[in-house]
Amino acid sequence: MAVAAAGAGLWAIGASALEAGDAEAAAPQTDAELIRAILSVELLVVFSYDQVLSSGKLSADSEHVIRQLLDHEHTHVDVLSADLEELGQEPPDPPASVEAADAELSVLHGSARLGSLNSEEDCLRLLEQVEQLAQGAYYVSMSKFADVKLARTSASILGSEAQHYTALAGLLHPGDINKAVPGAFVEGSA
Amino acid sequence: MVSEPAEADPASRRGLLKAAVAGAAGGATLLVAACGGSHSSSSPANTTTTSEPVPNSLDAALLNHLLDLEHMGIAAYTAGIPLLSPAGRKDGQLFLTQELSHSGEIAGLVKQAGGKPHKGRETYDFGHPRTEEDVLKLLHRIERAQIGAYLDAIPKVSLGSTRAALAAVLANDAQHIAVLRLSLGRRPIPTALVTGHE
Repeated sequence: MAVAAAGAGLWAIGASALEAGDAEAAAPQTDAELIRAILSVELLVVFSYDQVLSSGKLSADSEHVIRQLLDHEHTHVDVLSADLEELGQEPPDPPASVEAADAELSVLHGSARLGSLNSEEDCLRLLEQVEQLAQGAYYVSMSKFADVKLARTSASILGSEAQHYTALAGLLHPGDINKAVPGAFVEGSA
Repeated sequence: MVSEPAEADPASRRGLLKAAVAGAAGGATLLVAACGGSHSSSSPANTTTTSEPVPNSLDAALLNHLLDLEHMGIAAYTAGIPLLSPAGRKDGQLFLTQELSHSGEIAGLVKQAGGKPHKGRETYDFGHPRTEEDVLKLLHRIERAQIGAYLDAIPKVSLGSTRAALAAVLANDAQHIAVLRLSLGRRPIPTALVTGHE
């Protein structure tokens, strides 16, 4: 059921249909629709990193790490956009505002909000959460691609998102390996 | 002595996903059913698969290759942990536990594919690691080989649910390798795409 609910939220975001009840109608039928849905989540991730970096709440050390992770997220967006273009579709738009991004986080069952970043801890916890949402998007999609090359690419990026989570947890909980690598199977939480 | 865990519990989250995907007419159908609605019977071109293929002997062979690598990883962590610093040992013990979970999962997938899960070898030639750095480099090599093998296998296995299960393991190995790289004084996350070459 958790996987099912995850899919529903993901597809709603992918269709820019921000009511969970619309998820059924938004359920993807093609690889292009799957990629478009994942790309929507990646654009939300990039938007979140940008907001965190502009919040002024990060220490210099944390900011250095976050900038590296954001570079990776831009690469993910580029890779997915190229895949989507090959399939004949344009990429979706990124969130237009903090309010729009928070609405998407809500649909994806995330509890953190970009509108309430009051400390470095808030920032890192929010990024942990969006990384888990991205992991969920890739994990849920893995079994659905018709083109297995897309599944390989998604697995490669899922691995990257998992590493990002470990880096963020390392900043939040220095020296706590159980928090940094919490489970043997990375399935995310979208 | 390192004991292997029980094989994949069919009632586990991954087991449920496998059952759900295998029982559904396709990815979209799975999602629609999950939302409590009825599903379309149409099957337009360029859709996700409309019927899940069955696993075959090639799947079992691919998965057994991955299982061989998991056994090697378990042996390497078991042998190497005593040579690590206290902090390294804590990391190593956690990663060993997770590798044991991976081996149980993959053994279950081999059985699901109609194969007989390989057992670990009695001995492995890991050379003669003497220092913590030697052990970390050995573990890094093995984790890297595992990631490469998982990425190689994912497009080749028949079942989408198996691809998802393999990706979940791969991503955990990617976390292991990031921590190992940090312990070796290297950039922990050098690339945006995990390839098994870094």
